[in-house]
Amino acid sequence: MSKKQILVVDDSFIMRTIIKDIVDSDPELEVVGFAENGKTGLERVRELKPDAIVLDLEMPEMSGIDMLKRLALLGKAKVVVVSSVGQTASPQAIEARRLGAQDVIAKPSGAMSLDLQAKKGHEIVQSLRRVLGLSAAGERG
Amino acid sequence: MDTLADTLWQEFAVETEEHLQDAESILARSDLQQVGVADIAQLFRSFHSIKGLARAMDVHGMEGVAHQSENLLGLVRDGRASLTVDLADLLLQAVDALKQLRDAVADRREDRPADPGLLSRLAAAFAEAGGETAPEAARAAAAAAIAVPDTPLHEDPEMLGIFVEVVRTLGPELCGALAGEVDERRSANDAAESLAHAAEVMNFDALCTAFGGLRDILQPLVYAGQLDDAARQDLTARLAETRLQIELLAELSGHDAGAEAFSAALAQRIGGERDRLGLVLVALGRSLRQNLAEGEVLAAEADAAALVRSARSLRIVAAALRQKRSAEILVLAEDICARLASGDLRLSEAIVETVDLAVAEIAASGLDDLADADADRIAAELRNLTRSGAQKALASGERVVAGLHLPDPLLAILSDENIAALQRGIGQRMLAYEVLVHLEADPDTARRWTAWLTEAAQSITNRTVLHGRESWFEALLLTHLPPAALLDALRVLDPERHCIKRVRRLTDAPGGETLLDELPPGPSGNTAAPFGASSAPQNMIRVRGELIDALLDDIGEFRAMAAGLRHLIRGVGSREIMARSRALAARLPAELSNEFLALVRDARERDRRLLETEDIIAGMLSRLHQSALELRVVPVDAVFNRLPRIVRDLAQHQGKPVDLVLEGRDVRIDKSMVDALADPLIHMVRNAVDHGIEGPEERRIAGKPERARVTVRAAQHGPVIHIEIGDDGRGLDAEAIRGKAVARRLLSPGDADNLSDEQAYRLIFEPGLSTAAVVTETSGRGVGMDVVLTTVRRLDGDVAIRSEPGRGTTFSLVLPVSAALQTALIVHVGDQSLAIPERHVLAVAEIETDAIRLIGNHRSILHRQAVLPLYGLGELLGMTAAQPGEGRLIEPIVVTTNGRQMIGLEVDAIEQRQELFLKDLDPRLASYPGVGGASVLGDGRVVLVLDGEELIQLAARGIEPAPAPSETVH
Repeated sequence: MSKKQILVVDDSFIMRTIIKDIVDSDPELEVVGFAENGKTGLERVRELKPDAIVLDLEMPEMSGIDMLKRLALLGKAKVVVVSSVGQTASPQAIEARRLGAQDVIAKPSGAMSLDLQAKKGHEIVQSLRRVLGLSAAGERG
Repeated sequence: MDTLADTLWQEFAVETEEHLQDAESILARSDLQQVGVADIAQLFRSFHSIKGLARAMDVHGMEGVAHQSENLLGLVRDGRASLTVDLADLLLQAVDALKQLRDAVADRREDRPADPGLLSRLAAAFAEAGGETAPEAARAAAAAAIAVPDTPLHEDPEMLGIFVEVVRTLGPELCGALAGEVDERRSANDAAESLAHAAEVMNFDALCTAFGGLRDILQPLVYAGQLDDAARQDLTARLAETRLQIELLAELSGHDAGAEAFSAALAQRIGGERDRLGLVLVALGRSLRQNLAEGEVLAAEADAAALVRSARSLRIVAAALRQKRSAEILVLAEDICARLASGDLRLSEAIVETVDLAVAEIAASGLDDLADADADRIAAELRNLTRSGAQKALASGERVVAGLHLPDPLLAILSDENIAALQRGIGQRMLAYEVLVHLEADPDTARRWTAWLTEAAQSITNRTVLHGRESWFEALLLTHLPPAALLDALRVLDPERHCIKRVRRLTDAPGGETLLDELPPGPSGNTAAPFGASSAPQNMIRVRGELIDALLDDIGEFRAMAAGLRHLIRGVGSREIMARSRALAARLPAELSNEFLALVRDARERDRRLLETEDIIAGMLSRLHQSALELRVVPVDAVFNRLPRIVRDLAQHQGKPVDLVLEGRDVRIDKSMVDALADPLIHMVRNAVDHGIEGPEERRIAGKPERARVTVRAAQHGPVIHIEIGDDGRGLDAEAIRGKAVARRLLSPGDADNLSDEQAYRLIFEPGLSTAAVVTETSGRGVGMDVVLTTVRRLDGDVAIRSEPGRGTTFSLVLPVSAALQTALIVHVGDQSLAIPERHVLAVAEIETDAIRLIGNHRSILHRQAVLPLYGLGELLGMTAAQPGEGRLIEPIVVTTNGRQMIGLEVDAIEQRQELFLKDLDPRLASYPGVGGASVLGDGRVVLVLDGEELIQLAARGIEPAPAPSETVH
């Protein structure tokens, strides 16, 4: 069984670390690369051809929205936007959806908690699984 | 303490410090007028990031302050508020507060609440600037989302800009399509794929077609090694078309779509090509002139044909480089050369010189297009040529006089009388020859030559040919002598070949039939040899595989005939004749006896000389055979180079990091083995990755490096090739294999338990019991291990398995260097010829039928004190129902062995031993029990090559064979 390959694009090392921790907790998902902004994100996408991208919106150099615009042209990559601006109805969230983001969810919180549920990490995992067409993994802690 | 938590807290301190520093440095500027849009965006992002980080780490005090500050800056960013001194002050207070809170967290992991006063001041400032609280904002946005229809991406002007930018960035990478390296070609292919998608999203159909077309051509070529000229031309033409599209896009969008950069990239890729082609053209032009000067019309025509091809390639390159004028000239040159090559236009110094000059000017212009004035002048000259040339055009039929293809230089000097004489001579069944003689070399020979010419031949015409600095003499003559007799006559005239250098019989084919060619190489390099336009750049030639096979077949047949000759000379027959002759001599009267014995001695002497000669011939044949065999040997890399891609794809697909190590890639094996071994090797390597190697997790737990290793190693030891396929995976599970074998009823449980692990491993070669089925329960793909073994056996090799649980598995193949060639005994059963490989044949015997006994229940004979069970070969293969040997007194038997057991095979006739080439066999036939391969005999008969091992198994199992394979073969 091969794991789905995930690219994490976020300008914060902590965020990248936390998200990797969350994503890797799923047996069928694996973080294969990081980028700290949209520009390097696009390069990584070309190199790694990930199955899905976890994308932050607010980033220096090239924002998540700008990266999404290019991704929309470059390929059919599946994108889950994970952002603090990520209320589903915020203008940025709507723009992200228009540009092809498959899901827009809030950033994780409570990273220090050992419980994935409490970290809100399950939201990321479930969103990725849904986007990648994997069965729901709700029963997992 | 959790190391991840430690890391995160440390990073939290570092990252928040960075963001706070960034914010502070902007907010603290003395002149806020200088704070631009980018700075505001940066400020917003800093607070936004701090908010996100604080939230992730459950630091709610910081999150609150950062959140309020971010909201405020959101208004500034959106132009609804401006960054006043007061606002900057307030935000600096927020920075200070965040620093204090952060320090408390970093030092003591203490989440202190934020200062409520600061929070309310921030909230007040936000409200004052007209900001809405989050729920309001969300409602407003939701309303906006409903109100604003979804703009399709291709109608979005910003997306157009981004599209152009994407084309600008990726466009030049497309030119990597022409690169020699796989990496660049792959990037080009990816770029074409992405661009095709982008163009599709943006509804640019033509661009989509251009990019998609490039991708479609390139995709199969990415891993195709060196691109051939046709592929390069194809790609170059596509890239040129793409550049046009990019230029159009720039016009349409008003943005720079990178046409210049694209052109530069293209020029970089094909500039060298242009130079190379330019040089080729110049060289061809020179060769053409030279050949023309020497009257070598055929060679010149070949040059012209080569010129056409090169000119076409260069034209495509020039067009891709936007050298319109050069391309235009090349079209004209191409046209003229094509007409020269077809004989439509007669070769003349003027034509050649003009074409040559045109080509030289284009070659010299490098990466610049021809200047208009030059192009106009050259074009006018070339057009003029074809006009006047058309009048000089020679009907191609005219060159053939009385069914002869006369070389142009000779034709040019033929008078009407000469032609009439030719017609007459040919009518009298005389043959036409062209003879080149060097009369200055030896006056005596020259005299003899002239005398012979008047006596035995009819001279039609002759001309002087310059060879280097010597003047030679080329004669067209008619004679009744056939080629061999003519050569004999000429040999008498000139035994040392001082004078007579070349003899050609003129036929209706261009160039005729060369009977003798003793031309020394020209005195200097630039004197072209009269034959062939130019020598190959390297001392290498390409030969079709079938040609070599045919050669080997011929040699094989020749050897068989030589063996027959040997038999005739050394055989019992001649000894018997000698013995009888002596006996006869004894009964003759003395005077006759002496005479007779003298004759016998003569005959014996002749016999001895025959034997010597036969020895020499056999030795030479053997060497010839060896040399021919070496023609078929290629590096094993021809198979190995397919493996990395397979391993990479499979490893990627299964999420197993795997290193493939290839060793001994330059070991050489027979070409036919390359073909035969490819599938088994690929299968075993796939198996290694698929089933041998564990997932990274399992490896980690087992304390192994996560990156697995698959090693494929080839080595030659004398006449034997060893190929090993090893992995460092989990090893074979002997117990599981035993279980499976029992479940499949291949073994009884008791037998299974008695098997050693090594014996159990070998069970995976049984049909229907692949490692896949045993170890992972996932279905194997393509051929199974049983087919691997069959193939290797067919190549006269064997497979051994070494496996250690948890440490990995190694398959060792041992094969002869040239397994494809086997000596076999040809036998007959019914009307079918069958071959039994020599290694399985222990003896051939003719036994009397009444020597056959029933031992047990089986017909057997005694053979060298051993009981030899007899089997009808046809019966064993299920070919004949008739009782073999019925009604015969003597029965031919082939004693067959697998090294351990012996059986006697009854056949209808035993023909001969012969060397056979195993041909690829239809898989249905290959899996047929007892059949190992097929071959074609020298006389074209198809024979099935049997597998002794399988025959003995068939005999031992008493398996009822399936219907006759003979129908499939014929």
